Order: sequence, then structure tokens, then C-alpha cells
Amino acid sequence: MRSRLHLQIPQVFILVMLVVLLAGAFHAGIPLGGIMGDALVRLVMNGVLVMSMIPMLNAGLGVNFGLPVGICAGLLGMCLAVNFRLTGLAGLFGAMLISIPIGAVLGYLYGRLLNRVKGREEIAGTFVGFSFISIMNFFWAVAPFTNPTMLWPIGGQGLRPVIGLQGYFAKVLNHSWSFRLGDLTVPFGMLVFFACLAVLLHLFFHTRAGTAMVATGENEVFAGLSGVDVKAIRTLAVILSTVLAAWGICVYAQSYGFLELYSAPLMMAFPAASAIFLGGSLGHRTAVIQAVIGTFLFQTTYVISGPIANALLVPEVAEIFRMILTNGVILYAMLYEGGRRRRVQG
Amino acid sequence: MLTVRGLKKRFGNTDALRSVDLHVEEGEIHGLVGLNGSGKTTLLNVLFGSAVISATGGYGGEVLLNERPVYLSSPARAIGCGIGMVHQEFALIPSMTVTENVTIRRERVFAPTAILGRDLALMNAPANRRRASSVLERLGVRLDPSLRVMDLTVNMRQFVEIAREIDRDDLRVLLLDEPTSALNYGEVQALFASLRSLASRGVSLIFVSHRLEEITTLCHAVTVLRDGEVAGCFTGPAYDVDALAECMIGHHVTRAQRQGASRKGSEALRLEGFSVDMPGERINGIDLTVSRGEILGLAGPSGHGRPAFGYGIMGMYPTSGRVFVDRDHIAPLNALAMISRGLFFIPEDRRAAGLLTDHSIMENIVFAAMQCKGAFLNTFPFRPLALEDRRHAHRFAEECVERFGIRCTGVHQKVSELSGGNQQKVCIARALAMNPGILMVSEPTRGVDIAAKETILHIFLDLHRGAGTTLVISSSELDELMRMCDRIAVIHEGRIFDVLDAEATETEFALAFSGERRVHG
Amino acid sequence: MYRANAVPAVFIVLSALALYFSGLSPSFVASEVITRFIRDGVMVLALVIPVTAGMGLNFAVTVGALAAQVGIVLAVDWGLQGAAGLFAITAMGLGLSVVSGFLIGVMLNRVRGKEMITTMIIGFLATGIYQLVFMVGYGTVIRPANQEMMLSRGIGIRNMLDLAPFRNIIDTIWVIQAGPLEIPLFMILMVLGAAGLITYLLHTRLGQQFKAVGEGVEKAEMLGIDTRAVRIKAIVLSTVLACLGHIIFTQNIGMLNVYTAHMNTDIFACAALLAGGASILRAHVGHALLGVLLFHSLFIVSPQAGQNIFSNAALGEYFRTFVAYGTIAFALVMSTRGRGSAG
Repeated sequence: MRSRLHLQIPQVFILVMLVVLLAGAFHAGIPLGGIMGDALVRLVMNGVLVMSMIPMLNAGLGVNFGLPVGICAGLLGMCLAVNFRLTGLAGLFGAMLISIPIGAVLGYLYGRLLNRVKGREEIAGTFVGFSFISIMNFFWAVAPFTNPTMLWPIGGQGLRPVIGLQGYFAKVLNHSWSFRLGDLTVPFGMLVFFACLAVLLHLFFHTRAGTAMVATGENEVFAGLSGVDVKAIRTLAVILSTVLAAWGICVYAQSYGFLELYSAPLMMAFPAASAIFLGGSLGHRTAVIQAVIGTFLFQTTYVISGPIANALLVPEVAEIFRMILTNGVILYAMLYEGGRRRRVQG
Repeated sequence: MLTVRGLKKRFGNTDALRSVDLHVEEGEIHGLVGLNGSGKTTLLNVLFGSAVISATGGYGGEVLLNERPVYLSSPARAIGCGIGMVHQEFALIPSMTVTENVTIRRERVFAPTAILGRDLALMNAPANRRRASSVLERLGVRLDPSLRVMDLTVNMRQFVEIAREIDRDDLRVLLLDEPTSALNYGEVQALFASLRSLASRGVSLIFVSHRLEEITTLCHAVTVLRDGEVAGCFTGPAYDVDALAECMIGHHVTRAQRQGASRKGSEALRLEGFSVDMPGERINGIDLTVSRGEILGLAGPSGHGRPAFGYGIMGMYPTSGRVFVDRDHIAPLNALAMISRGLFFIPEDRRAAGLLTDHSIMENIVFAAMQCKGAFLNTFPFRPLALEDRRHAHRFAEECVERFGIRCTGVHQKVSELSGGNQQKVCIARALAMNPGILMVSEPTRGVDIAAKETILHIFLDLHRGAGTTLVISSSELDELMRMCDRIAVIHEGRIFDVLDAEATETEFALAFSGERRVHG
Repeated sequence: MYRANAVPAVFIVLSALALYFSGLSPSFVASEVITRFIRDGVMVLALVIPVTAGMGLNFAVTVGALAAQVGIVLAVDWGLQGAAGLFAITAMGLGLSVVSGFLIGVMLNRVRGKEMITTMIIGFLATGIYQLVFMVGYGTVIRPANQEMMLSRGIGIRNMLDLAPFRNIIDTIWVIQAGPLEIPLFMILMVLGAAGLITYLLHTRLGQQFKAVGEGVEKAEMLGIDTRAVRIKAIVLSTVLACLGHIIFTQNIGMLNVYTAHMNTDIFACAALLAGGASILRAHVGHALLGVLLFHSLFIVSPQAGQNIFSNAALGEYFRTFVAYGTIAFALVMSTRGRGSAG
């Protein structure tokens, strides 16, 4: 347990960054209460997507760079919900419900593919995700949706790249049970929802299937010799990750207020992977709490760096900084894990 | 030529070599024999600078070449010192041709391009082909050098492997690891002729083989290794197969010992034409019956298929043939089917297959029982989502810790922090949680210190006596098998060479290991 | 091992169909394909050696492209012109790509078996650092000599640099007119020269070492080959070739999109190589040359074909991206030697 919370260079770096940024924000007179509120919202907004990586990590499939597969399942669920004109919390939960079967089917197929490429799941997942996005691009362009708010205003055929959710379920979770505390808005309902999901996921890893998953991730031969159907468990992990990713994008989109289709989800896997590593996971057995901590650290720097970059007159710097942070952390984790593996094997 | 003084090598906390001395004269063919785990392979690995040695902390002691001390840090270094090696598993590149494999790193190049440096000069393919043909001719093999190695038979590959080393002009010491295991009689004779001519050119050879007859015909001197030490060194004509065999096994003090023969019951496990396609450890068409209540030993050199039994029966590798448990044909073979028929397997490599080293003692002990029998789960209306019953698991794990004397800080300690013996006890506890009727164990005492060894063997004997568990023990420690088992099947080249009873003499065993039938005179 | 690969055949059929439906004239398509062959050929060839050395597709060719862009931006900043300027760009780019190739090689030696995903992340990270330097560093830490290339706020370089001083310097050499087609013979010879260079390298001792390491690191080590050094050499060569390829690409276009020109070069190059029939375990220059032709033929005709069939040009565009990503995904899923060589 102790070793899992070991401070690695990325954590030290990001903590130092946070302190510097907070000092900068304070200096620039940016209200800290607003920042905290934003940070909490963004924690949940991205947290579910980050958590969705855990089943696959724990089952030994590595980081799910094929996250777009799950995201597309969620987008489809939401499009259907909007098409059926579901509004409010019913709209959000309706979308989540619809995306379960979609995610399960896609996850099953994706899992079958990944079982073919053992040991290369990450790169294969990346490109399966990328190609799936382009397949979905076709779909969005021709899908027979009927709600005019979703369609191109001219011609009325094909979905718009960005669909506003105002009037459907924009920010329904953000606003439920939220209350103000000084200049800090606490999105209480959102936090409760997130906590429930986190606890359920945590408990899952203490069921028979959950323990089998973790064992498979650590040692496939052991699991196989102990009577676990390794392929089935791996597929189950991919299905679970895919459905959670679908839910993740639902939470994300309602919080953002817009549905972004087409190529928008292309690169979404990378910040999520980075958040997992920031939480102290190193690409294998990952606790739910690590995903939560990692997301919080990542999103808080995101929230603070924006206004500061604006104050510095170079708005792009926030985006560049985030890109370097994201990929630097992932690369660090890979190099660290590679070195560790070499020592263990040797 | 080559002198080794006080060579020591440890892997983790086991001694693979404890002070080995060896001397090989120029032009001498020196035999090296010993049972599995005696240190032969480790010695060769040290002399060839293999990565496995440097990655585990190097070696102690001295290696001298022509009286000059050298440290063999990598194969490149060893090759630079004039050492060559014929690997048992072949260092051949399958998609390259015979020529390319024979001449690799020594390719002839076109002279005008040599100004670009050794590595960037253009290769002279015809010259390389001529060179490869001539060396193969010297070995007495007719082989088209433009064939790809992957299209060759195993014995031809063996010759390519040897040709690559013989082709070297700077060769001073050649290590040969089981070079004859793939060859037939005639090919062996041809090989021996070229090895002798190599020796007459002043190259020193170290020849490792489990075929003792070959050692006695070929070698000028023989060193016998046992438990990482030199058990004997024979020179001149004053040694024979029997003397070597006796020296390999040595004498031992009997400790844990089975009391009388077991009562044999009905048939528990039967294999019919059973083959397992496990890379490096294939078995071919084995027929074997194990009776209920029996202790059967499996013996035999490594690389001959012994480990394939357990893994094959549990369905971890492709198999053919039929397996019966209690006269019922089991198909398809998989771990769950076997476990539910009361068969459990404790594999030899605890870290890689037998334990979840990052998990606690308790989690390891209850894992299989939870997965296969739904034991240690809370009752919950919806079965698949039932949570683990940690109280129950904790109680059971503590019982096991007490019963087997597992030394630990508590049942929540990580298994990786335990010693080898205690890890093995956790494996046994794991099996016990399943309450198996048939228990297959591979190398039950590998990497376990001597005191714990006896305890572990006693646990198995108690289990056998108390619960009447049928045991199939696969081990490279012959002495252990002789003490424990009713019958011992010797596996040789993927087949059952012989089934001996426990009263057979050690020499008979040693010969069976070498795949040689004793002709009584 | 020699397994007939259906991928080129699929590309030929698809291109033929798309050509038919697009209604484009074959000579237009041919001249476009020649242009793309010149622009992208060397970049695709840069991928061959890492595949041979068992490291899979080198997505870090973007780093080579970035090295070329750094050279170009510096040349513009210092006001270098003409052939001498091009020479200076090449010298700077090559120097930078040797250094960065070495660093990538060292990193990849730590992540055996996961080289591809790592090269991909390295490419993204390098992009971030590059953007930081030129968008934020220029004008703050670095003083530009050439104010014209700066954004009006004084920090950061403009998105688009006009490369008039270097435009088409080398691709106007030896241009042959063949009917409606302009064939820049020199440039074609240059791409073929790069192919020849790689073929030569693969027939040296170094080439044998690449192949041996590619078949299995453990065996190569047993043969006394310094596998780490060989793998580093493979990546350095690949990065250097990528840099050259990107210089050719940029001078042909005559403009530099400072922040995005290098993006997706890796994806298109990899997809082209695989379209030629290579796999992630086997590739030779023939695959690369054939692949560039096939991949770009399809690429050129598919938007127009999409427009004509579905009366929606966007669908052709989506089809293009799908082809690029899908080819790579297919190659990754289909070649299942498993972990064997990856270790």
C-alpha cells in the first residue's frame, strides 16, 4: 500500500506547478473560490472518463487508448436521448441507459480484437479508436435523426458537429443540489453521483469477477491455472471500460453543455491516461482513488493555467502546457515501467 | 588455456555455483556432466557472458584465458576473447539463410567498399556462400547454403549452429551445450570427427551432454558437477559410465521417508496417447495410468517434456490424445474442468505461475477456491456481484499459516516478501483450499532451503496419508522422488522411457536419465 | 513468412473504383501522384529500417520532421537564401535529428515491446515542446532577427511562413515534359536514391545486424551483437531520413505551416508503407515505393468520388481518414507474432 502512494517525479512536478500557479493566480487577483468550484466541476466532468480506464488497466490490457470507442457509444446514446427529446435528469440518465447496450456490444467486439493482440493492446487500441472515429464520422453524416436542433440547418441532413444541449440536459447534474459557500459553488449532487460511482467500482474489484480481473492483470498463467477463463475476463474488462467511458462522455457533455461529434473525441484518451498516471498508477493495478486524485491534480492545473496564460497575453500557452504535461507524464510512466520491468525480468 | 578458479554465482538467495574450479588444456576436449540444477548451464552462461548472469549481479571468482584474467561481462566480450558457444536452443535467425547464419558478424565484404568501415561495407554474397559451403563440407554435411534456416530439420539446424562457431578463425575455446541431442548415430560420429580435428588445431572444447556414453568416447577429461560444486574430476581412461553416474547422484542421508507402499485403489488419472505442444518441453504420445492413493514421481532431464505434464493436463498448451479422470474422458481440457473434477496443479515456477506475488497470503490462498467453487463469498441476492467474505477467508488463511508454519507477519503480508519455502507453503495451502483428490506438484522444493525442504515433503506425505490424496510429483531431485514415490516414470525426449519402482538403484536411474538401457554383462 | 498480402490488391481495386466514380482524368491523377511520390517518398522510406530492426512503425518520424522545420524557421529568421540556405537548413536539420534520434533510441531501449505507442507519445511531446519554443519562446527568451515573421503581438511566430527563397530550388532540375505530364526526373531519382541507400545499408553487416535484432533481441545478443546500439542506430537513421523527407516536402510546397505541417506525417507515412504490403514485422523499400503510389492514388481520388456518389464531399474525406487509420489498425491487429520477439 505504502509503495503505491510513492511520490514520483510527475507528482512532485505537478504539486510544485500547482503551488506556483496558485501563487500566480493569487498575485493576479483571480478569485480562488471560483477556481475551486471550477476544479470540482471539472473533476467529475473528466473523472468518470478517467475511471473508465481502470478495469482494462487492472486486467492487464494497459492504458485504454481506444477510449473513443466508448465515447462514441455514449455520444450515440445522447443523440438518441436528444432525438427522443428527453430532458432534464431523465435525459441524462436516459442517455446513460441507452448507451449501456451500445457500449456492451462495441466493448465486446473491441475486446475480441484486443484478445488477438496480447502485449500490443495500447498501440492497437489507439488505432482501433482512431479508425472507429472515422467510421462514426460516416454515421453522423448520414444517420436518420429527426430532431432539427441536431441537424445541419441547411439541407437538414446529417448531424451538426456541435449540438447544444440547452433545453435538454445541459448542466443538469452540475446544478442538482448545488449550493454556495461564500464565493465557492459546491456541485453537491454531481459530487454525490461521482462518489457513488467510485465506490461501486471499488466494490466491484472485491467480487469474484473483480478479483479474477486483477489476478489476470498481474499473472495470466496463475489465473488460468486457477480456473479463470482469461479471455472472457479480459473481454469483460473491455466491456466494462467501454460502458464506463460512454457514461463518462455523458457526464462530460452535460457539464460542457454541448455534444461534440465527428473528430472531437480523437485525442481524448491522452489526457485521461495522463491523469491516471498522475494519480500514481504506473500502468498496472490501479486503485479508484488514484484515478480520482490524478484527475483532480490534472484538472486543477487546467483550471488555473487558463486565466494565468490570458494574463500573460499568450493564451496558447495554457494549451501547449497541457499538451506537454499530458504527454510528458505518459512518456515518463512508460519509461519508468519499462525500466522496472527490465529489472524484474533480469 | 582456460582456467576457472573459485567461481561463484547466486540467483536471489540460492547458490547456483559455489566455488567451482575447472582447467582445460589447449586442444583438450573436456566433458561436463551433472543432473539438472547441478550448475552446468550456469557455468556455461558465465563462460559465455550471457545476459542472464550480468542482469542478476554478475559472478564471483576468476576466469583466466592463457593465464590472463578476464571478466566476461557480455557475449560480445566473450566472443572477443575467442570463446564460442553452440547453444542448446540454437542462436539462429530463422528467416536468414544458412550462409547468413554461418557467417553472421564475420561476413566477407567487397574490398573497394571497405573504406566505409567494417559495418558499412557491402557484403560479398558469393564469397560468403563459398565459405559456408566449405565449413559445412568440413562437418560432413550436404546442405544447400541458400536455404532458410526455418525450412531445415532440427538436426540440420544443429549443424548450422556448430558450423557458425567452427568457421571462426579466432576460436580458442568452444562451449557445446547438448550438441548431440538432435542428431542420430551417424551424424554424431561425423560431428565427433570434426570436433577432434578442431581440438587437434589447438581449440579447447567444453562438451556438455546427458549421454554419458558420448562423454566417455569423446572427452579427454570430465568434470562432474553436483549442487553447484565439483563432485569429481576424471582424466584418462580410468573412468566409465558407472563411475560418472555414481558421482553425479552422490550419496545422501535419508530423511523424510515414506512408510511402506500405499494401498492402490482404482484408476484416478489416465493419459492415452497424450501429447503437449509446449515450446522447448514437448511430449509425444504418452500413455500413463495413475491409481488412486498412489504417489507417482516424474523424473527426467530438462528440455525433455517433464513440465508439459501439468501445464498440458490443465489445458494451458495445445494438446492431443485423451485424458481420463476417474475413467471419465475430459474434453475440452481446461483448468476449470480439471479443478471441478478434483485435480489441482502446483506449477514449478512459483513467481511466474504459482502465486500472485503482489497480493497477500490470504488472497493467494483463497483465490482458486473463490473462482472455482464460489467459496469465501458473502451471500448476496445476486450471485455474480457477491462481495468476498474477508472474515471467512481470514480465518481459513490463519489456520493454514498455523498448520504449515508459514513464517510471516500476518496473513495480509505480500507473498513477494516471503522466503522460497514459505511461498511454497502458500502454494500448498492454495491447493488445500480446493481439497483436491489428485494433486500434481512440480519441483516442490526448488529454491527452498534445506530445513524447509523436509517440512514441505512431510506436508505432502501427511496429506497423502491423512486425506488419501493421489500425488503426482515432478522433480529434478531424484533423491527426493526415491524417498517419496511408489513408482517413478522417467521422461526422456518427450516419451516415458521407463517406469521404475522406488527400489531401483541410483545407477539405474542415472542411466535412465541419460536415455541408455543397461546391458548387464 | 512470405505470405501474400492482400492489402495492396485492396488498394488497387479501391483506387480503380474511386477513379472511375471521380471522373478525374488519369493524367491529372498521374501528375498528382508523381507530386506526392516526390513529397512523401523519403518519409515513407524512413520507416523501413526500424521495422527491419523489430521496433515496429516509428511514429516518431514527426520528430525528424520537426527537426527540419526548426532548420527552416532558423534559416528564415537569419535571412538565408537559395541553395546555400537550403544547404544550411539540411545541415541544421540533420544535426538536430541525429541528436534527437539518439535520445529516442535510448528511450526505446527502455520500453522493449511497447516501442510503437512510445514513439507516438514522443511525437506528441516533441510537438508540444516545439510549439512552446516557437509560439512562446520566440519574442520572449529568443530575440528574432527577422521581425516580419513574428505575430503582431511580438511573441510567437506567424502560423504561415512563405518560403519563396527556397521554393522549388531542387524540384525544377531535370524536368521532362511527357505529353501532359511534367516529370521532375531529378526528384524522382532522389527518392529512388534514398531507396537505394536503404537497400545498400540492408546489404551491409549493419543491415544483417538490423535483421538479426529484428528477429529476436535475445538471439542477437547471443551472437555477440550489441542490440542496444543497433536499435539506436536504426532510429537515428530513420529520424535523419524523415528530416530529409520533410525538407523535400516543404520546399516543394513552398510554404511552411509552422505549427501543423509536421502533424500526421507519421500516420500517412505508416499507412502508405502498409498499403504497399508491409507488415509491422517486415518491410522493404519495395513496399514503401509501391505504398506511396497506391495510398496517394486513393487519397487523391476519394473526395471527388465521394462527391459524385453521395453528393457529399465530406464523406470522401471521412473515407480518406478511415483508410489512413484503418490500414494501420488492420496491420496491428492482423500480425500476431505476439510477445515473442517483443520480450
